[in-house]
Amino acid sequence: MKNISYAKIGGHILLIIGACFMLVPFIVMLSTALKSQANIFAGGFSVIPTEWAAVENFQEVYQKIPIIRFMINGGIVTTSIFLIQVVIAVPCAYALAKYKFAGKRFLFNCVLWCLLIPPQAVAIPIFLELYSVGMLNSYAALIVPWSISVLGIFIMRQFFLAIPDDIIDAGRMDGMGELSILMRVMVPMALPALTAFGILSFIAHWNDYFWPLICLQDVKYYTPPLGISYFNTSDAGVSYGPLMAAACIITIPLLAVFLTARDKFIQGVSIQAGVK
Amino acid sequence: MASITVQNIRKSFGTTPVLHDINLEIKDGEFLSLLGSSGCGKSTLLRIIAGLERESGGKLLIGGKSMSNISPKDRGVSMVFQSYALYPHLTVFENIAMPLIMRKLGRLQRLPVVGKMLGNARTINKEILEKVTTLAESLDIDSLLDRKPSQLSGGQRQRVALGRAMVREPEVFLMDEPLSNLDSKMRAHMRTELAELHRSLGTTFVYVTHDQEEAMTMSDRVALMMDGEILQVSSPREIYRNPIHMKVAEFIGTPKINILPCSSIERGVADCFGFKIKTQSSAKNINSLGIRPSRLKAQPRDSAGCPAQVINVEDLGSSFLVHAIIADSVRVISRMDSRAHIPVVGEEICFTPQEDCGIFFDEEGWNVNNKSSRQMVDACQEQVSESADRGYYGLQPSAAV
Repeated sequence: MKNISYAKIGGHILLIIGACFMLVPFIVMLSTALKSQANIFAGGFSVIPTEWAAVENFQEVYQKIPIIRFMINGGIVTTSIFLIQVVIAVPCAYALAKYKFAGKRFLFNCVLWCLLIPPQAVAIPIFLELYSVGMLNSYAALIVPWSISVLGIFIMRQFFLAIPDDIIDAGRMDGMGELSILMRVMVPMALPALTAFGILSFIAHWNDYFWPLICLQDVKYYTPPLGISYFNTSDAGVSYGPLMAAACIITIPLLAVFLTARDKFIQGVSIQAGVK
Repeated sequence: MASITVQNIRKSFGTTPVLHDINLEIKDGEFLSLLGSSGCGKSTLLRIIAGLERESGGKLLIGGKSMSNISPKDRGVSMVFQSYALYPHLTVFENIAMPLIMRKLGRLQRLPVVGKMLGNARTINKEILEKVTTLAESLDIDSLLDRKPSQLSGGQRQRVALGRAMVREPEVFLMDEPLSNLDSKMRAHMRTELAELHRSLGTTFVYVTHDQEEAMTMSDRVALMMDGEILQVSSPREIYRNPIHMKVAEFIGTPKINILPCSSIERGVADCFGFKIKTQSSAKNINSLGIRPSRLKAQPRDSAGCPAQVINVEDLGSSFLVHAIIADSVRVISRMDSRAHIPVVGEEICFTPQEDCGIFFDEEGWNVNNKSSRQMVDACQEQVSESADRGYYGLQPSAAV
């Protein structure tokens, strides 16, 4: 009994340390967002600002950059990416999970191989492609390269596999076509997996700095991370206060999305739990 | 309502043959069970009838119409699955209503919100509501309509699955071991309900099961399947009393029928471990005697019969099962009335097969009294099904075991 409780206490201490480690950047971000430039550069670090500049920092964000515009851009881009990914990934996953056809194994292996390819590796070819069709510097440039998500196909396929074939057959007996089965049975049942994938996709593309930096020139298409880098310029130096204030603002949607979908997300990540 | 004709249906998965040349005639309004151990192809045959599996060869007619290239939804058949296969994200009402929603409403009318306003969607929805409610009442699940399947017990789920199959009034019901996930009490109860349901609907039922008790109690006829072939199709009584093959005799009946080696010594008489028994047949090629445990009487050692030694006795309450070994080689079981004198383990006894109750098989295992040979199985099936129509009185006296 004693051993178990020591192990438990030890485990919890480790978890608490881990949690603090993860939390520190957020605390620094929040605290810096409230401090004046002088306070930030003063020696030592305090969580509570000695010289407050919260209002000034946030005001500067709104005055210097179109942060709302950036957020809307982020919203448009992430939502479109997710919707297109779902439209493509769900039928692919259904076919890979439930149909018998020649080359199925090979195709699924392709999906697995694609999971191993880092996006940076293909950035230049994609850039050149988009250049040749004249799509650079637009929303399309931000969305199209991400429209096929192998991770999405993989997650959905694993979830569909766990759905018994009998339910699909029951759908066929009840008069559903394949599309109806997909829309009325498979997708509603796979909602946890879809949510999990949605959150992963949203976070990845909301936070993406690399790709928008490459393919955009026009500020009006900037996504939030790229937009707030305005405060981090090589010639004017870094204005940490407003930068962190802006970072705070663009983190809010992430938190909101995650918290609303938390239960489904956890269900979806522990994949087999969803079907009973 | 419709009859089903299965003609030379074959099926193989890859190179593995699952069904060889199945021929079966299921009459309009009949309750036919496909009985067999797991892997014998009975579920595959059912799925072919349903249209969920495509036959590799042969012909299937439902109501006289060829079913090749007709999708499951257009065959007028409903199916109840072993796992019930209810939609877990829909309520009981939506589950039962689904076949009607898919059939009666158009594609656009099925859309959420907008669909309700299109055409006569409102009246159709009202009809569906009424129909589902009435059906739910008759199945005694009307209080559960708002629940999700996960909130139901096994028996309730079973009823919902039945409701979903019944709601569109199909011509044929297909059931794939629908009772095997229930506990034994519930199973016995649902068995009666299914039989009553069949009687009141008068629809053709095809019922797949590995449980001979289910097959025997509910069916008009039983089709016994083994290794992808139908061995015998006849009434439960006939298949029990007059099995055409030793395999059938061994499959039907618990405890298993005793098979004793024996040979004919003269016309109409066979010898079994020194015991002379009448065969009611002039057949010379008798190789073994099948005798049901309840027809094998244990007698004191000095009486006429096959000498045996008791190796185990099981008390079932109403009766005893006496396991014994004859001539150190053949194990037999005898069912004895609990009021009889029960031998003890190790006791030397004699077994007397009851006259007229033996079934005699030739070297290949065919019943010598049942004239059918392997080539004549089809003809026999027809003949047997005729006798099934005539019921009990149509049976041969020799078959009355």
